[in-house]
Amino acid sequence: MNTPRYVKVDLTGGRVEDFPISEAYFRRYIGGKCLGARLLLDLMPKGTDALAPESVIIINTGPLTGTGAPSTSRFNMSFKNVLTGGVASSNCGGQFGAMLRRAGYEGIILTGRAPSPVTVEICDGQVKLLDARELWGMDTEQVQQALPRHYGKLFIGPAGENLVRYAGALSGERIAGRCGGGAVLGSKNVKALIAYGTKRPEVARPERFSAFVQKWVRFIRSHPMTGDSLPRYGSAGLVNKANASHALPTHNFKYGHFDRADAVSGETLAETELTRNSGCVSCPIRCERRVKVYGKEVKGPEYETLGFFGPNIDADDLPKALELNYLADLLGMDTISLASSIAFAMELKERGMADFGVEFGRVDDLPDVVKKIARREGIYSDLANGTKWLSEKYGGQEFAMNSKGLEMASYEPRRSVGMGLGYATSNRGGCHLNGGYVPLLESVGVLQMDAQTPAAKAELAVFMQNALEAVSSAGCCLFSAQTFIPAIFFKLGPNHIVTRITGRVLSLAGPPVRLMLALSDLLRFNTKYILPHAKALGLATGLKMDTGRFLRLGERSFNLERLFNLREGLTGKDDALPGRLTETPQVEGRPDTVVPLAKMLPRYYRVRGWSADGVPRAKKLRRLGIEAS
Amino acid sequence: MITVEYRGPLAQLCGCRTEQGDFTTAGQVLRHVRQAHGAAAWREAKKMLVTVDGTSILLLRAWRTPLEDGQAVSFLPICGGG
Ligand code: SF4
Repeated sequence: MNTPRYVKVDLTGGRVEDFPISEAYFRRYIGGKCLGARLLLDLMPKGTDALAPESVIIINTGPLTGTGAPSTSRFNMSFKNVLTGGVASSNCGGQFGAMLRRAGYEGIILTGRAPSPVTVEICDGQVKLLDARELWGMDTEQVQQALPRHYGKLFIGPAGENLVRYAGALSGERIAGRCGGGAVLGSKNVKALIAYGTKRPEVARPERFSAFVQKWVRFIRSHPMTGDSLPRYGSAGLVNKANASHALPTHNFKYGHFDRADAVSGETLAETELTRNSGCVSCPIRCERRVKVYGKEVKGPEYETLGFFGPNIDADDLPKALELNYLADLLGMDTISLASSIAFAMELKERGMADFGVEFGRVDDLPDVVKKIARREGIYSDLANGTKWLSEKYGGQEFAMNSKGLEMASYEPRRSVGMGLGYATSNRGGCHLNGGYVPLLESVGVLQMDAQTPAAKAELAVFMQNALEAVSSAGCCLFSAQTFIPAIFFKLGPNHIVTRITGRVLSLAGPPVRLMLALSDLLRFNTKYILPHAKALGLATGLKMDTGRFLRLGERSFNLERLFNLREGLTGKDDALPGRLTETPQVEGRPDTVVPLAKMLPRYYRVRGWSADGVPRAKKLRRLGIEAS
Repeated sequence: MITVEYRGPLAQLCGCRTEQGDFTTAGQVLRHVRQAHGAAAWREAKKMLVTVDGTSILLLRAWRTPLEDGQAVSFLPICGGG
């Protein structure tokens, strides 16, 4: 069996050595996020600061990365979360992941701190450290231009160099944005990683694999979500949808509906600013927006960015939102944490608690503010630390919109309570994807279950968290999983009686979903309709893989990350949300418009097989084949 | 007077982005789409997200949602992402 090839680089001493992955590890942890979490638990010394030289960062691929299967340009970064002190992982596209595999490696582990800035070059099985002093200080466009053209590149901007706690790393124009991976690379004096090679990733059953890939691509193209709406509007199309359900964060999550939201919606973007759509390598979905900023064509914003540089700061200026999105990419920062920190500063100002010169509804000076944050200039250095840090210094914890320290995404969970549970339990903090993305079933999708009821939310959150973990571990983009909602509902529409009844019935799905999770070993089938990734993974690796095993892989990954959090001091008490969401109803006089977290959390722990205080039980870990580190 | 707004492919099928009329329910607007713009537009419209002043009719009374003078009814495409 071909096991993945990893290399470990000690940046302090410049030592490079192969890092063998045993067959047992490969069979159990596969790759990407799951194997990343396992290696982080094994290699990262307990209690190490995320930005210390001893800190470890694992940049790896999944078995499907670069194989030509749909939406598989993805790679993963696992590291200690700069904002939460717990686990972090970031799944990103662009060319770097596929090129890393072509260069002969499935993963690279960095530790130590280079004495001066370096670029890590991975070329046809050789790894070298190159002097990058001339690149230091460059923005992400300049560095991309300065690096060799045909290489896959992963690099940081000034924000990463200046250790902005939510600095990301870019691969082409895609960003591994969340949790501060750019700051971790910056702390190690790594400006870039570049990869080039000519070795095509091998798959175990090439003929069956390529036949299945063709079938899968056809399915993706024929599905209304991945074949029509994502290419047409990208994720930006969600602005009006979230607004329609009153789940669009407005005025730093004080409200969930913004009268002028349409001005920054995906539809308006498509009608007024879009030059074309584009996509990552080997992706038939092509969800990326291309827009013009400062007269040149650049990557457009995702939904999160429009929501946060729009309604969440009371703004309706689409060109300005595009400019801020571009600047965040140029300087190398996560737009969610950046914009949420700005919204928090606006509320501090509104309440007279601190003044960073920013005010709700005023966007003209925000480009300057963003640049100052990236440079950590003066008081703006505080804004570079995120909302948790800010609230510890200035107060306002009840409206610092993060969970565990990571800023929440653009879904107002008081009108999508399953998302509230997801934010609270997500291992990396307030993340919609690691939180299971339940809003797809309760507030922004075609099927709409009761968004206020806690019924079935624990079960659905666990199921979807496991599924997304597995998709990521395989090396795929999470959007490729959105075909699991049957196309028929898109043909009928959200207002059709059948769609509405199905949405209602989902609230009763708790017991069957729980049974399915408990008996997932019996799901010995593969289908293109739900998680086709499982079959592709089996054909690529030669391992036995079916829907049940695939979900088990995701569950293993989620539990490993939980173990890392527990080891680093995050406990069940950190599965929490700001008081604004759990205590203050979004609609006055409607007590159901809070997140009933205290009701959902105990059930969630039970469904997960964890103790009442949120610790995975020994029996659960044995069942998942997880050994203590 | 109610303002009706068509987005996405529906705007092409209807040949306009907005129009105005006197309607008392959301369902009446849908019937108007069929009568004024034909079956293809109606098929498209009924599978879209419909909002009244930006709020989904699913949070209101679905097709029976009453309309008041000055309100806007929008037909929006279903989207995804995350
Ligand atoms: S769906 Fe979008 S983000 Fe995902 S791989 Fe395709 S183009 Fe990239």
